[in-house]
Amino acid sequence: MLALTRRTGQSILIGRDIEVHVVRIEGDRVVLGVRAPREVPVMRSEVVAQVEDEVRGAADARADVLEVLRRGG
Amino acid sequence: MSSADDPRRADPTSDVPATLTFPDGLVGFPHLHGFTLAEVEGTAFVELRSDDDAELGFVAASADDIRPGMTGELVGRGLVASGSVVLVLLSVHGDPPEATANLAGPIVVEPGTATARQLVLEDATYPLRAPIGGA
Repeated sequence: MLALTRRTGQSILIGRDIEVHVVRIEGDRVVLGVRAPREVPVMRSEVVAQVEDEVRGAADARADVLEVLRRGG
Repeated sequence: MSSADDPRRADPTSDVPATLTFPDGLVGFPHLHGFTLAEVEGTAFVELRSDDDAELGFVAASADDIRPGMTGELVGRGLVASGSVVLVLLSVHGDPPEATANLAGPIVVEPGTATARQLVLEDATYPLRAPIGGA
């Protein structure tokens, strides 16, 4: 993994189209600003992990879903 | 074309071709690209079955049936093209088990190209486990 040191107000470029700015630093939190083409999704990794867990659960639960729906719940 | 050969289906996704390609797969299943939609008889729901893995499938619903106006909201935010059909995957949670809909990871179908992709929405107003009623 590439590690870069940046200060508030500085940025990095990923390719030519994606720019990540360090907006401010608050204790152990860093506020980032991301400029990217609309077709490039920008997501917090933990949110993606939550959706992934739910999708996997939905696949495992297919039969249970059908049973619950058929009994009207 | 006979009705049996008709690749289009009845409500709630009547404009959606029965066979869909997911170029990027689904979240958690990036290697699965082909899915087939089938109605769940007697309900307003559909099954999304993997063409690559016979054991894998999902039950889905029209997003607007779960959250009225959701498709329009996503169109308004520039996340979904007008004319797209938005589906949400269903699961069960709780004891006794109740059906829930994953609004945070909706599936956007482009009927004209028979392609689909899954979004990940950061907005907390689209929960992972929205409760739903019966069929």
